[in-house]
Amino acid sequence: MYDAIQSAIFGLTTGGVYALLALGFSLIFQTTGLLSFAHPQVMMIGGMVGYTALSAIGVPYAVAAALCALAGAAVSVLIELLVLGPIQKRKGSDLHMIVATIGVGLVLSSAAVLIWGPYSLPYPKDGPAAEFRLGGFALSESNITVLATVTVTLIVFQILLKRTKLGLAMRAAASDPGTAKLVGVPVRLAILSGYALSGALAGLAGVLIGSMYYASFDMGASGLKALCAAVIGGFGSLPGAVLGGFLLGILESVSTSFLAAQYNETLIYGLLIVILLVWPQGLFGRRVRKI
Amino acid sequence: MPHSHVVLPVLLAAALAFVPSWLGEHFFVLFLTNVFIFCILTTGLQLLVGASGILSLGHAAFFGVGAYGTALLTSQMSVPFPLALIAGVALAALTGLIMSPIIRLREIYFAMASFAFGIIVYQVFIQWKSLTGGHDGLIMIPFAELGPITLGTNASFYYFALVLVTLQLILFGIIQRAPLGRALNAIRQSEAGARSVGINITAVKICVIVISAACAGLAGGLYGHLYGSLSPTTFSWHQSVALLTMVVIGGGRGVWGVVLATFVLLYLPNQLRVVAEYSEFINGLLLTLFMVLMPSGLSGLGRAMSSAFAPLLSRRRVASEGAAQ
Repeated sequence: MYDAIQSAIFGLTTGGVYALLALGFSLIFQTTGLLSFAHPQVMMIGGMVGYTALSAIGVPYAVAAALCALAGAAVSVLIELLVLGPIQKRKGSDLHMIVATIGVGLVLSSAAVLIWGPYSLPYPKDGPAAEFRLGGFALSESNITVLATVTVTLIVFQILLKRTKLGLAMRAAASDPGTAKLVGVPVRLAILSGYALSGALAGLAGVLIGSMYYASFDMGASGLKALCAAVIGGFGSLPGAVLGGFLLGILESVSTSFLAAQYNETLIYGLLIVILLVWPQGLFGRRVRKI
Repeated sequence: MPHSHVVLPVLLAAALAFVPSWLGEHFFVLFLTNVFIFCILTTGLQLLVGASGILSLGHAAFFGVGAYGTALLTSQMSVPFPLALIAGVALAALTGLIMSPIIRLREIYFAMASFAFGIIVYQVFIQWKSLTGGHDGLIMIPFAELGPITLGTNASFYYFALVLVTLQLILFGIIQRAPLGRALNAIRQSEAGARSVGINITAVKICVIVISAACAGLAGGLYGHLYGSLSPTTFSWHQSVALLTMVVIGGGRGVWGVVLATFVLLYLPNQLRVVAEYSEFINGLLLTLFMVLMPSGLSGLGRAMSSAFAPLLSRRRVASEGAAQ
């Protein structure tokens, strides 16, 4: 039992990162109805930019995190402007959009190999990591940093979406773009903000993963697992994505310590299919329309 | 041409039949054999993606199931190659049938589920070491034997693959003109409309995914015996994307654009070192560019050109346009 709780605590940390990524998946789906395979690669760019900022330039951690969020937002908006926007403009199908995001994802990950090389890039660490104990359970410094960053980010995100005009515009554009446009909501700006926000979340997730493990060009593959988190929560539901992220992180961590790490992918993607089949609305989602 | 769906593949095959006697034991013969195998794969995937609008992101899984199935039967259990090949195809078709509950999901959920499915099957190839050899894969797959003929030398395997790909192209031509093909057309244009005229959408989609998976299984069975070894990386997510790239660039509903795209996308990395080195980057760029600029692919380009020149070539079209006005 002690082990289970301990690994669940560690799971909360990766879960927080999954939550940020899943939130991005769901945000993009809510604003545009799209599944973006480029999203995890935006996270990878965040992780790489974090490496450059911390090791080559040597800025403090908080500045690096902000830079990563900015980089993620910029890449995400660029993808919309250059690729997805034009496809949507000529009324391309969902299929075209998904295929295009796969293409963009490939371009990003292979561009990362050209820029940063094909190696794992661990972030610079100053001294051995401090460890804290909380009622007999261990918590490392990076666990705490990650959890704190995730919490602050989620609070800021919530305020932005629920308490600002931009957030209101985004929610209006998501629920009914036609009517929103009629009553003067800047729908285009709202969609772009959706991409910027999801990109920023992904960039942050990237620097967090980098600080826990390392950054590398293929870290996007692990980010795709967050898709499962988004589906657990009900694809398109924002609170669901956050909760799903934490649940997935805990599940992964517990299965790693009791089963074996190599079965994680099979387990998670199996879960994704099972949920789509028997419980497609997830925790908070609307019913998935079947044929 | 009334029977173009039979005549064209046969003509092309007849022309290609001269290649081995012309080149002899040339690497290009082996390369073309590989192209035939991939054409079986990509035209099969085209039936799903292009003809029915079902986005399968885990197609390499069926390819792998056929490849491992056939190779294990011949190498471990000494099953004769033709039987093993049929069993491999059946196994892949069965795997396609497993996907059938998923196919009722909406487009993007199916894309997600098929992606997950592809990853799971790939994980099985890596993890089930006692059966599949794990990361090392399978080696020492025996030569394929077709009765008295050993398909070991390049030329005989070349002809076998050529016959199979030709038969498949003819079959697909027939399917397109059969009720199944017309049902697919209807479904792609409007699912609601198709259902309203009494088409059982789920049954049609299951039929298509089983055919498509069986084709991939056939390609897999051939692939393992052509090279004598299998590596699990051949059946990863990257392969699924590479296959999708060929189909998307080929575009349209017919097979010829896909056949051309398959040839070009295999030929360029084979010939140019630069292309091979940056193949991921180039594939990604091609996928993106085609989706943004030319979503109907090469065959769409062909159709646009032929309709641009049609008034010069065909009087019937001019006459019908005149009648419409």
